[in-house]
Amino acid sequence: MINEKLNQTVEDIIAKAEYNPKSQTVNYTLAIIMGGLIFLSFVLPLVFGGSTNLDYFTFTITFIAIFAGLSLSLNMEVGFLGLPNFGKIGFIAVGAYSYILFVNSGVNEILSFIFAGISAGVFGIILTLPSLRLKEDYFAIVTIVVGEIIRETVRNQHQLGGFEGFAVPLPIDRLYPSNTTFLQNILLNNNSISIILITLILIFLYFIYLNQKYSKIYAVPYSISEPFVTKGGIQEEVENGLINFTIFLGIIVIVLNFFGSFGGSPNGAIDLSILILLILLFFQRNYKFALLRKYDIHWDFLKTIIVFMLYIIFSYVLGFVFPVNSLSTTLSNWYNMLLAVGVLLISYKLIEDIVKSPFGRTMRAFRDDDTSAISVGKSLLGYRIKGLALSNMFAGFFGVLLAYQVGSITPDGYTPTTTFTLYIMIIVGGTANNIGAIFGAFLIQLLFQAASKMGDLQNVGGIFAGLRFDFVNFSLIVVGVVLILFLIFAPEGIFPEQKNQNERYLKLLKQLSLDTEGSKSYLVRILSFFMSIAGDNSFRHQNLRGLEFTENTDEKSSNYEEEMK
Amino acid sequence: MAETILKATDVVSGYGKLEILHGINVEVKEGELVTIIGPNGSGKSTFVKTIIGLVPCWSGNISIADPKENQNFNVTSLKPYQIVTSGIPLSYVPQVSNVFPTLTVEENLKIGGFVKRKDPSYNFKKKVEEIYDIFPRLKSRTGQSAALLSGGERQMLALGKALMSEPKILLLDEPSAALAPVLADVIFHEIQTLMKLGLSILLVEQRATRALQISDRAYVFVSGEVAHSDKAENILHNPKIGEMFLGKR
Amino acid sequence: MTDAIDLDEELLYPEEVNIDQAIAEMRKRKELIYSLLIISVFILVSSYLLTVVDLYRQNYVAQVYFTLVKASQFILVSVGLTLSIRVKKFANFAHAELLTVGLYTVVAINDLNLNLFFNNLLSLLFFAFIMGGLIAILSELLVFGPLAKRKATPLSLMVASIGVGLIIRHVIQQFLPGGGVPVIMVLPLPSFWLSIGNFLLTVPLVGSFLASPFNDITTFGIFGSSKTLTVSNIGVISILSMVIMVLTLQFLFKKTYLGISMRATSDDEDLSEISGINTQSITYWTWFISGGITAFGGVLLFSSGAVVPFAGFSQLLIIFAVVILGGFDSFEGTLISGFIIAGIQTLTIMINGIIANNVPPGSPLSYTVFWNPSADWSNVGPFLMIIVVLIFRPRGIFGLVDPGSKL
Repeated sequence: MINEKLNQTVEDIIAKAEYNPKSQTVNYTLAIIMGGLIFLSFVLPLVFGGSTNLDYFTFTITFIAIFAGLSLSLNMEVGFLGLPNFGKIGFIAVGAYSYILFVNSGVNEILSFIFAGISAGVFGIILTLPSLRLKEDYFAIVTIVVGEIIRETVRNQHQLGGFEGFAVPLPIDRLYPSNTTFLQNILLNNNSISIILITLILIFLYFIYLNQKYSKIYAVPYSISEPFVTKGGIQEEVENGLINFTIFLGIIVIVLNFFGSFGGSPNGAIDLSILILLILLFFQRNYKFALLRKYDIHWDFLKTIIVFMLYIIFSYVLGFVFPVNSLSTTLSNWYNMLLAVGVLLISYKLIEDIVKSPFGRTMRAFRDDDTSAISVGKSLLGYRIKGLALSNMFAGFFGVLLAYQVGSITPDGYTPTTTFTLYIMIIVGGTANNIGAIFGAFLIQLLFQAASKMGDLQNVGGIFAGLRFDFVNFSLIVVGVVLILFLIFAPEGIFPEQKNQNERYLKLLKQLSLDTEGSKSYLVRILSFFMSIAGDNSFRHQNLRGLEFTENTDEKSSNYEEEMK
Repeated sequence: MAETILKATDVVSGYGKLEILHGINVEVKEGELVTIIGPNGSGKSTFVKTIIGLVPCWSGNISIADPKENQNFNVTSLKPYQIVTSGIPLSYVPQVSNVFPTLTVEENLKIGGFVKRKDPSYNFKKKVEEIYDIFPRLKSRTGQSAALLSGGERQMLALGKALMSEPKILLLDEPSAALAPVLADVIFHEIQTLMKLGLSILLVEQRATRALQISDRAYVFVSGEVAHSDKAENILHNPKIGEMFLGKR
Repeated sequence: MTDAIDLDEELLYPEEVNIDQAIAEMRKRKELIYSLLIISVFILVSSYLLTVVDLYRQNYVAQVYFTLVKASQFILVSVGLTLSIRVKKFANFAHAELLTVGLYTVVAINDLNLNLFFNNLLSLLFFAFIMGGLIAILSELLVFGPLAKRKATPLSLMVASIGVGLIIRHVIQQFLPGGGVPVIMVLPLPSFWLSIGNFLLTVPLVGSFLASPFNDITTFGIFGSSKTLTVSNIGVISILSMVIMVLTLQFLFKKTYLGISMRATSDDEDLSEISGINTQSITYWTWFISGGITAFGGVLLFSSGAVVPFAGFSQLLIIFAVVILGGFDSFEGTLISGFIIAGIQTLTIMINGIIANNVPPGSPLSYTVFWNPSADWSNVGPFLMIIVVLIFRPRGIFGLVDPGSKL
């Protein structure tokens, strides 16, 4: 009797934890309402705009990607580390300024890019010092002031560019002759390997970001995946090593190519895509992301070709819709967009990994209750140093990208307003949720860019010509109202924080619930426990079935699988 | 027969959606010291907070009578400040943080008397002197901020602040909480002194034995219901309750 | 019932340490005030002597006067923030926008072309006060109140205040006269004001001193030096209104029902409610006074110079510097730190000017940061001060609570 009751409660816990709609929900209504409204405002200028539409398109995506990266970085501090850094703009500035100072002193651009991230990270370590002594709101003010001091100092320093700042030369402008058109670069100048590789990246993106079912590997029915699963063992390790080596070589070649060290005229867009692809591949191999561990690259050649065709069609459509002569000016914009999106993808994967790792778990523990985290032997100083260094490193990288996009680095481009905008993004999107941070950046930047486009159109012509209305200013009012509405009515944002579930604990519970009925399953229980520790999930399922459990429990376990889908 | 001052009938209340009190009936008569005892989480403090209005009363009725002026107030759905300012002779002393730490002792007492500031017959200075007569310790600390008082003094100040509004009934929520046993004894002694002024007191206590020794009647709360009510002496000597709540064997 | 217990007093109150603590605290406070007095006398005397000696051709007396005016204006715009922090327990980033509200109230009334009865300095200041207070109440009513009801954290209140600031700033830019274009406020003096000034000028010896708040410009000679001290009426009015404001607030907090209730509410909201204080209305009063003083001080602070919607926002961090140095929620602290911050600002500008004028270009010193006559370091000094103070003494000069992290 008691046994039955216990079993029932354990099952309840599992059912709740495994399929907890509350912990998993995305605020879809909010997302659709917000996104729909803002997307309308995005489309409007596209429809009624003049000849600079493609610029608008690439600009918007670039800004979205850059601000998404910045809000990811801020989200890591505010959401996961629990440190309200209101001086984010200072770190962005540090990244941008150290990049341009390195470049001006003759350092290679790609090295400068890396150094920019590192110096912003080092600056983040300095910030740990006040954080140990100060409460949230005081820390917020110290950081905002640090940002302002950086700005004021740079503004008054001749050596740092002073009031006028620096112009940021784009590597692409140096690499390409000015008479190459956009279309030439996309279609005529590329080689077949590049095309294949860029389609592969699209497939990856499809599986990682769009088709969520495949990223949750445990939910995939084995019948579908079995033919494509690598069985593991020594052979797989050798394969892994070989692929890693290839990836490294590829990245080195492409980086050199990319920054013009081989001479000639490489295809920037394609090269960049390969770079991104290879980096992604690298991380997937090494961090054992579910996708590559279970599926090989050659998994579906057909789909590769389809996506390839789509890519070609897309390029042609772009070419026909927009006149070629207008496209030649947008080459660097296109380049920037790819760069920003690529770095964003890598950063997202990295940050997501950091957050899900034990390191991220400890960060969240410090956020929720630092005293108890310290009491189990974690070093507050150490974790804050690492956390702030990491997050601000990303801020430095995206600071350089922002400088690329804006085209210049001036002190007045780094006012606290930008930090506030980032806060609005993560509040709207959802604090402590990386997807949320990106989505928030997407919405707010879409709104800003649409507003500024409409403002431009007032001067150009079209239906907005006669309108004397300050759209940019109005968009800021809208953002303010939206922020407050979100804080009051949906403080968790569109994507609430994902409640983390301890999978091993769940598995144990499940086994307990299955085993309480009879002592004969004791052996299975121990076996499956060890196997679950070893990481092989399939063993349990198959063997449990093999050992003929009661039909009742079997039904239940399959129910769970269905629910998870 | 003394008149009933506080009468709570079928009080149901709780926090958020969680129901904690499931129909409580409690009565305090004039000049009585009534104690509520019970295990942790039995809803003792919640009940007192429901009377004063800090926790909303879901259903039931709470009324307070002023026998001198023959008035009867229904306080069921009033906010705390409305209860205090509308002349209902009721004062509540919370369990913790019952004085204003940055205000001086005198200002704390002043706030207690603010309720009566429009009453011409009310003499603030005289009242303060009265309080100082009851609690002479406070007089030497008049100009000091309350944060610097010791635990016992703080409780005295809290009691004094409550007395400033000339209540007929006092609600005391664990006045001996977080005090050393010696100091707790002093507080119980002071409560007895207050009884001599003709007050009625509803006392919620964890130190059940000590509280029962000085009180007239007692209620035993168990998980949001009145499990038992009797004269204090009877409860004190009731073997079953003794075993369950008072630690006797 | 048991009998009364006889107990030893010593045994009963073992926490006598508290009294010593209190006395030590008071003594420290007294020492600090005395030392500040000595320092200020020293500054006055030395500035006079330096001016007489004519060191680096600077008018130090005038600099002290400017510091006084600036400090008064800083205190006027910062005291409201101290007040709202005490009651609401979060740093209000929208505070600076209340200042802008004051400025644009004046601009709007100027724009209406009213007669001198409405459109004079005194009534403009009055309207700015009212408007600032009302906007502050509105922000509590619509944003901070509902948020506090939902148990929002200080951080989300802070972010909300950023949103409030954004809305106020850009609504002003969108809908008010001037918009994004810089406007100049007109603060005409009422006729009776001028006639009082003319009358006071006739008083022997101290006439021009008494008349300084009434006349546009009063010039004093400095004994022993050829330099003069030029005093504007707005400057004197700023100092006077600061003094009056401080005394009024002192009276309010120590003597009146409203003031004591405000302090009680800031201490413990639940207990205040139990004690019969309508905390809701007290909170609104706090916001009204806070917003009013800020808008009032803002008009004085920007009385000379152009007004833009970002005017208040540009002062936000200086206001925070003042408040933090003072200890975040202490009035005496804000008072003293207003002077300190203004002093540091004057000093930075002065030293920069001296170095720029006295270091020949080409010398090693000229490569340092200071050799840049157009450089504006006025904000860097105060900002560095915030960081230093927060790291080494987080509770500021007079802070009541140690804001250290949970460790």
